[in-house]
Amino acid sequence: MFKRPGDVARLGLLASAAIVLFVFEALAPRPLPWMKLGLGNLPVLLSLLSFGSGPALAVSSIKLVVGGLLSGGFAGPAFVIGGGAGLVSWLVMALIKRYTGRLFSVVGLSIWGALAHQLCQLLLAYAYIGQSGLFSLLPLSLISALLSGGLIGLLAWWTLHQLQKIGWFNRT
Amino acid sequence: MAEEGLWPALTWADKILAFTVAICAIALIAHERDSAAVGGVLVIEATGAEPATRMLAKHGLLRVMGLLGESQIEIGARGAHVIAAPCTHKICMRRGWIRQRGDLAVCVPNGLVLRIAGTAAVDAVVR
Repeated sequence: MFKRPGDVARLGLLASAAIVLFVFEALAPRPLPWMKLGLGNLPVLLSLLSFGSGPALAVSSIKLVVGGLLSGGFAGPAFVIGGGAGLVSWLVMALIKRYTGRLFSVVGLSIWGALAHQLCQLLLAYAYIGQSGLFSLLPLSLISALLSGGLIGLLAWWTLHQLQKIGWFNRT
Repeated sequence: MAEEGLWPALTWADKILAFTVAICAIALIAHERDSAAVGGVLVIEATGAEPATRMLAKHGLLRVMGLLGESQIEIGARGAHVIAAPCTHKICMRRGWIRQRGDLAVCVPNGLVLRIAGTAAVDAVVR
């Protein structure tokens, strides 16, 4: 898991970035009320690709708990729905990365994660309020997943290249 | 990770995945558009209560009790919209007016779904 000196510090940096992005996005105005880019998922994706699934789960959990506390939504229904969807998103990305090798790039992984997040969010919201009318949001959820997943994936790909240039992946 | 350029970061599997998701979304939207029209009825689904309906032609203010408290819904010439809600993020209020058949305004924290349905279809006119 951690093979190089400074890996724990690197992971801490990613967790901090995840919290900042999560809170920033919760406070920033949105062009459409139901659409969220999922900037907090960027460090989770970077952790998954840099350190593996376990550290990525740690970053995702820290982001959800600390971000939830800071944005005032901790333990509320939106937190449970968003948190559950976040964990399922991590699980799907971790499984795809593990079992499909290099079939999907960073962008593909991110789209899978966004899709899992959106679909799980709809199911959890349905389980919470029990109104099947919610599923009318499915087409918008798919478009949202494609756009946000694709954009976050491209950002992750670019960030990984920049991190590589500054020696993020060096063995020493 | 691909080493050159930004675009080669995409694999064929990525493109197939993106294409499939886009096609599914477009097909679902087209399916909804086929039946889209200005709706005549507001369906109010509140958790723990039977769904209620209200004609959009009948303008006024509705008060609906949800899981957190009272939501207020205005029905006017532009359709229906939530004007007050006890939830934190007020996403239901920011949804704005809903008018087309299939339009939704959802408040998950308050357990409330507002949906526009069509008017009852006229099968025949009998004199």
